Amino acid sequence: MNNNILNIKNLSKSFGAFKVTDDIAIDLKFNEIHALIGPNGAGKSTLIKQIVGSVKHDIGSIILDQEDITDLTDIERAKIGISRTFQVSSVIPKFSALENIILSLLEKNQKTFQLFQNLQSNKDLFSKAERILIEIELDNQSNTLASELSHGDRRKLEVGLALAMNPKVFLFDEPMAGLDEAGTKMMINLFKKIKSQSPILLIEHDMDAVFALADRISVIVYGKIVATGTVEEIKSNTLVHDVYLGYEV
Amino acid sequence: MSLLLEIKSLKSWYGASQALFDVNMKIESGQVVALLGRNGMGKSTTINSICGLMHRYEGEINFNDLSLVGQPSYKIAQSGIGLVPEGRRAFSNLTVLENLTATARDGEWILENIYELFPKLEERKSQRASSLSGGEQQMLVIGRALMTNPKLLILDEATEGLSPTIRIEIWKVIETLKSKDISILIIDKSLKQLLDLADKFYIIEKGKTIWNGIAKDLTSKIAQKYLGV
Repeated sequence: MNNNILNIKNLSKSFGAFKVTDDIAIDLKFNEIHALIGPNGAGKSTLIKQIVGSVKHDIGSIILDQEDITDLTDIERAKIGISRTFQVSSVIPKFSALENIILSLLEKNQKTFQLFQNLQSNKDLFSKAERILIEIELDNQSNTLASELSHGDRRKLEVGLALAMNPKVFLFDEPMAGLDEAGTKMMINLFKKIKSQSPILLIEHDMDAVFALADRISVIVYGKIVATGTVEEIKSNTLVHDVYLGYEV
Repeated sequence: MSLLLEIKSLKSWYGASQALFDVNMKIESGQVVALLGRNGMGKSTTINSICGLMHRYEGEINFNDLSLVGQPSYKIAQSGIGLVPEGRRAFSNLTVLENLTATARDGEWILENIYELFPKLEERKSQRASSLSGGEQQMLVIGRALMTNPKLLILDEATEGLSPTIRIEIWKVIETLKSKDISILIIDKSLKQLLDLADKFYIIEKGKTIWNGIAKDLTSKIAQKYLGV
């Protein structure tokens, strides 16, 4: 049995003469956190965009849970279970934290919120949303407008939106950026817990977090994967030191 | 040293909800001051208040003998405060060169100095900001703020979302700026680097500055209590 939930092969994309991703092969196993690291501008976020379908690749294939999703649109891919967070926060500013989560739950269930109909279902929705807010430690900010949340708290909310989608895989793009030490610890514990529910492809520059979380790490430079291995293998890889880490670990 | 910025009893609101209750701070000319605190405690709100970006705030903010309270943000910028906001926010449709020159003011910092500090920006001067990598955009936004020749440079999470090598580069640049006696107010989650760099620290909790002092007084007990480190 194939123990990969996500299989990407030969994925390439060029903007004019510039190759942003170049023959990328990467996979994600069940129950795994696979971290993708690399210099700014190496092609990490473009790869995520190609996986979710917001950027069309030139060649290559993407298999999700044994289904070829290469030709599906971004909306179709989201529906069958790919959920991402963004490098720059994308919550709805005029909605409260709770309302943002509820919208995401509704999106998942393809429902419209109707206040006076199906009260029990609405109650379920609220309690699910509240549980997610507790998980991301934002329950004390439930009624705060997203626009009034601090930058770090907006990042937490964004992870909450991804949790609400209950996807087959999580694609997290710099979820620790802007979080304080305590927020980062919370996120590390949360990711360890949810990876058995849905494996995680993680882009992150906080190397303490990456080393604490990753089962495998792939390193991307100028659109190419230059190394894949365990934390210890990547830590001892001199090329990775030269192109990315820049310090001894 | 002379007093450059003094904040007294600053209070700020987002709509009906009060975010700052009592913020007090002093920055002397040539000092690097770090503003510390957990997420959501009021660090960026303090900076937004200094820069005139809050709709409702009160208290005293005196900068170089000028009261900033109630002044529009462009006047505050013209008075000599350069902001590097969190989340970068370069002018995405402008080229690198246009970003650097759009808000430039006369002074020591000219294009040549910026290109010397960040050679990559010269290589990419004709490219749109939106086409730059995250690290390059961060360099651009720091360069843009320096080109206003500020008396006070405010860096709000300037190393956020950057790869380790670029972060090392940005910290070196901040050290260079310090060695040139540029006054800096800095927010950053890397306490280790700040302890080596800053002359003075303020900790903000629930909208109040509750501690200030120098690096050697910032004990692990204080860091644990207020910063969760």
